[in-house]
Parts: sequence; structure tokens; C-alpha cells
Amino acid sequence: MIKKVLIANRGEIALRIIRTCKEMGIASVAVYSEPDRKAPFVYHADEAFALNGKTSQESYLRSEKIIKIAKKCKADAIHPGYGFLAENADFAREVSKAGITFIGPPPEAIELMGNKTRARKSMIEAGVPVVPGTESAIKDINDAAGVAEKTGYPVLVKASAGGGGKGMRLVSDPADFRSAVEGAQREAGSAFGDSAVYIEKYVEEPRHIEFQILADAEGNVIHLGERECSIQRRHQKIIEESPSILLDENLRREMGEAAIRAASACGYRNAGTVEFLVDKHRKFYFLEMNTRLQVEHPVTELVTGLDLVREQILIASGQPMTRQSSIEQPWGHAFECRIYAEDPENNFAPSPGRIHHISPPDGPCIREDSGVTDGNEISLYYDPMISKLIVWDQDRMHAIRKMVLALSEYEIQGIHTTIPFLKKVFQHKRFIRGDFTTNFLNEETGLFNGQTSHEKVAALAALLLHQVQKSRKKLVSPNGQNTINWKLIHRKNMLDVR
Amino acid sequence: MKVFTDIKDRTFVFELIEDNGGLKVLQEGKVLEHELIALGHNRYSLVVNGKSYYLQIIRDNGLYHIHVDGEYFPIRVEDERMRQLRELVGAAAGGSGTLLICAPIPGLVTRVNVQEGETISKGDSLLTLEAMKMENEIKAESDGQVKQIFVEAGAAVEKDQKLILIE
Repeated sequence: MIKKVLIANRGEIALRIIRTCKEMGIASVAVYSEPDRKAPFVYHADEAFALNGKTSQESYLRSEKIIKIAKKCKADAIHPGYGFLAENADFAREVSKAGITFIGPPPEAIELMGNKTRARKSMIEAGVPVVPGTESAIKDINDAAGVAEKTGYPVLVKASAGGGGKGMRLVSDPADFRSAVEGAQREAGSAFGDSAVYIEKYVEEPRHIEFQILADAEGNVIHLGERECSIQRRHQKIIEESPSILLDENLRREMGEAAIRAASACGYRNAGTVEFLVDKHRKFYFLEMNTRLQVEHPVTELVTGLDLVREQILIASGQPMTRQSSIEQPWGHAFECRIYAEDPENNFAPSPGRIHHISPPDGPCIREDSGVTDGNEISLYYDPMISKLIVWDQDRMHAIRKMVLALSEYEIQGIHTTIPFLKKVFQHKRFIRGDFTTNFLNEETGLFNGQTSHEKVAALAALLLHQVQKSRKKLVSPNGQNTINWKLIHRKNMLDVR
Repeated sequence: MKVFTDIKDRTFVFELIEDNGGLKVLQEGKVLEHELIALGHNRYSLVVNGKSYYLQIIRDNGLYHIHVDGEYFPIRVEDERMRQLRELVGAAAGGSGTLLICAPIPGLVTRVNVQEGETISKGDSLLTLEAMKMENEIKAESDGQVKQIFVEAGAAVEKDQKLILIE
């Protein structure tokens, strides 16, 4: 059994992994960059080592340094979290070479699924349906334009090494094709160090539905049901739920079996996610396989009762998984919201700064996976996601109400967040009906500037505070009548608490 | 005294009457019974006509930033005189034909897409700012000519730093 785990990551996911380690009686080791010194994951870990440097390249992406620290502190396993080195096959290989267990899939599986062209070929062979498009990465832009023409617009331009929406562009008009490819290549280059891109047909009225997979060392592969992640902004998931309103038992079984075939085809081991697009005819297509723990894994945890990080550690230790069969029927309904340090009033511009005060919501079946606390600085160096809010309830409608309540109670001062925007989405008629596609946020532009119910109250509060501040000035300056206004002083005192 | 509160393009007008040292607030002729109490850490409890609200209020840059029930409002408060004054100043400044474009966010300038002297039209991409690993295009809000460029590709910029002057 694994005794000490180094977490090669930061923020909420590092803290989330540390928690499971503690529950299992496993020692945890944090590594941290300069801006993260005060982050909760550093002081909650049993041991912590500085990586120095500020940017990802200088810190969390320095594989050789991380392995050196793991050896020095005698960690017998490394958990990569998501992002950074999580889907880097070379890193997984180097970790194993150093005699350390990589808590994740074999490097060959990462490599196969990380290469969209090879993944596609092997999915076709395994009988998993795929979306029509290019077979290989684009080298020449003119050839690429030809392929796009043949596939038929709209097309998606995607980074070969990509994931998380980075390095991805949707092109509807052939005139925009060239600049879209260039943009995607630049973004992919800066995010992944690999600027290769490829093209595929854009699926009509698509919904993003993915299956959670667990595979043990013996070759048993099970699925834990689906997550629907159709609510996306700039191809980045912002709300996830399980189960999906679109799936019935038959489609769930059919897609689950395809997901298991996909995982088996690449010799998968540990936790992984097979992503599908489902079109308006309820036809599903393999999109990609994420060979890591997903950001949205908590919704699966809440409807299955499993701790996916614990399962990951058990599998990596060669122990049996908690259950040996797939989950056909999820229990209740769960939602997750990703809370970003972005300003929805200002075109979702990044909103870095110091968190003066944060107080997450509380109550039955409300979970917050957060990586920040009072006094923390949100820097520009990393992803703007600061926390995830997750709720569970007996069915979808109750879970929606619970999420609205939880978002309303969430207090955070010092930075802008997407909370007000998320609340509007959860109150939107189409969202409540489950009538949406991955284009939902592009179609419902009203969500970005819609009116809300508390305007008048907010206006009154601003007015009252303004008057008090004005009268405070009056109090200190000589008063024409030379009288002391007790009521004003009383008011001032009431508003003077710090 | 009339007081105006602006929330973006919406305005609420309140009537204030000094009432024996207290403050009577009316809206559309109706009295609003009110009590605002500070709870510390910029948190307030407001009771209006028996309804209870919990708010967070931060004053910054002449605006009140209000969070209530998961909703957010930036609000400007001004009395009649201040409002007239500002409108006069605004009208006088409106005549000039230059527009200074500042960085809406801190970030890294990855590309400058125009040159000084270039004629541009509304919607043209002026430069690309990268922050938190995402590219943000800064686009022209109107037609014009690029008068001056203050930054070059590779430069790190702060929020509100001058980028481009458009004529």
C-alpha cells in the first residue's frame, strides 16, 4: 500500500487529494510556487517543498525538479491532479523510472489518447463511434482549408495536445478560417508547448456527455455513469451535472459500454473519462478520453457515494476497487458550478486581486471544493478557477433550488467572481427544463445583462450608506447651528463596526 | 432633496426628507421604512418595510459595489446638483475626437495588430492580451485612425495602462 503521496499540483485539487490521503492514513507532500506559499494546500499537507518560480513553466511544470523532491522526501507515489503534468506521458514514465508509483494510467494510454489521430483510429477499431474530420494534425494551412471545405462548415479547429478548451476555435465562415487556425496554434503553443491543430465537423445541437471510468490492474473496467457538461463558455465547462436529463437506461447502457470499450482499447488503468458528443438525433460520438481525474469528478462522487481519489490510490496500490460492477442507476442528482475569478459585468475579464473575505455556503448536501481562503492573492499566473460548489438532492429540480440557495449564500469580497452569472443560469427557464446544448450560453445572450430582482434594495442600501458618509463629514465640520445631532451620531455608530 | 442611483443604464430616484435628525426616504411617493446596520467586514443588514436583506457593500472608485443574494450591482449615487454638474462636464468633453484605449485587465501583450497612422473600422482587432492562459482581443469600438501606440508585443501591462490612442 502507498504510504506517502506527493501532489504535483496546486489549488483546490491539491487540497482535495490531501484530504483523501489523510482519511486513508497516507502522508501528503505539497510542492508550491512562490505565489502559492500562503495557499491552504501548502499548510494542510504534512510536508511542503518550494519549487520557486512564479509561472507554471518555472514551477508546476518542472517535472525533473518534482521527481527529485519526491525522491528526497521518500514519497512512494505522485498524484498529478488535473492540468499541468497530469497528461504528460514522459512525466508518468520518468516517475516510474525513479521507482515511484504514478497515480494515473500507464504512459502508453496517455500517449495514445493524447494523440487525437491515433486515438481516433483505435476508437474506430474498437467500434466506438467518432465525429467526421481530419485524420492528422495540420501542417499546411492551405491543405487544412481544403479539408475544412470538404468536411463542411461549421468546423472546429482544435489543439492536438489540447484539453480544457484552450487552443480551440469554432469557424462558421470560411473567411475566418486562417485567423482561427493561427489563434488556436498560438494558444496551444503557449498552453501546451505544442502548436499542432486538427479539424473536425461541428455536430448539430450537441450535448457534452461523458462517462467516468475506473479500471484496475487486473483489467476490470467499470463505468460510474455519466456527467452532462453542456453548459460551456468559450468551450470551457462551467456547470456539470449527473445524471443527464437526456439519457434513459438504454442509452446509458449503450454509451457506458462504448466507454468501457474505449478504455479497454488503450489498456487503461486507474480513473479516466470518456467524453462524447450527443446530437439532436441522440446519436453519440467519441470526443476524447481524459486520462486523469476530472475537475467535475465530485458530481459522480455524490451520486455514487464513491471517493474517486481513494479509488485511484487503491488501484495504483494494486488493491481491488470498492466495487466491481458498473453503476446503472445513479442515486439522486448532483450539480457542480465552477467559480472563476472573472468579472461577468466586464466580458468575463480576469479579476485578480486579494480575497478580503470569503465565506462559502453551508447546509445539508452542499459541498465546496476550494483552494483559497481569506487573505489569499488570486494571481494572473494560473487558471482563474478558485473553487467548485457542488450540491446533491433527491432529484434535478430540488438540486437546482439548492444550488440557487448555495450561490446566494456565497460571500466573497475583494475580487469579482462568476457567482451572479451562475445564479442567473440556474434560474433560466430553458436550463431548468434541461432544454440546452453546448451553444446555450451563445444563444442566451440575455443572461449576460439580464435584470435581477434586488436592484431596488441595492440602490436603497447604496443611498443610505452614501447619506451616512456625507453626514459623517458634516459632523466633524463646524455645524451652522452649533447643535449636536444625536440621531446622526447614533446612526454613525451603528455603521461604524469594522 | 432628490437623489439618483444609477445601476448601469437603470436609474432609481429617491426623495429624501430630513425628519427630526433622521432621514425619511420616499420612492414614487411611498415611504420606505428602513434600517441599515453594519455587521463588520463590509457586511450589512438592511430591513425595509419589514423585509430583511443581507448585503456586502464595498466603496471603490466612486461606486458602491453591492452584493446581495448572489447578485452584484455597481451603483453610483448622486444628488440633483452633482448630477447636473457631471452632465455639463460630460457634454463639454464629448466634443473632442480622441479615444484612449486602456488595458481592461492586467496581462501580456502577445500581438499588436495595428500601426500608427493606420485607419481602422469598428470591430477591428487592435491588439491581443493574454491573461490566465486565455487570449483576449481588444477591438475597436468605433471607426478612426491610430494616433499613438504605447505598448509593444511582449510587454506586460497593468489594468488601466494606456494602450492605444484613437482619433
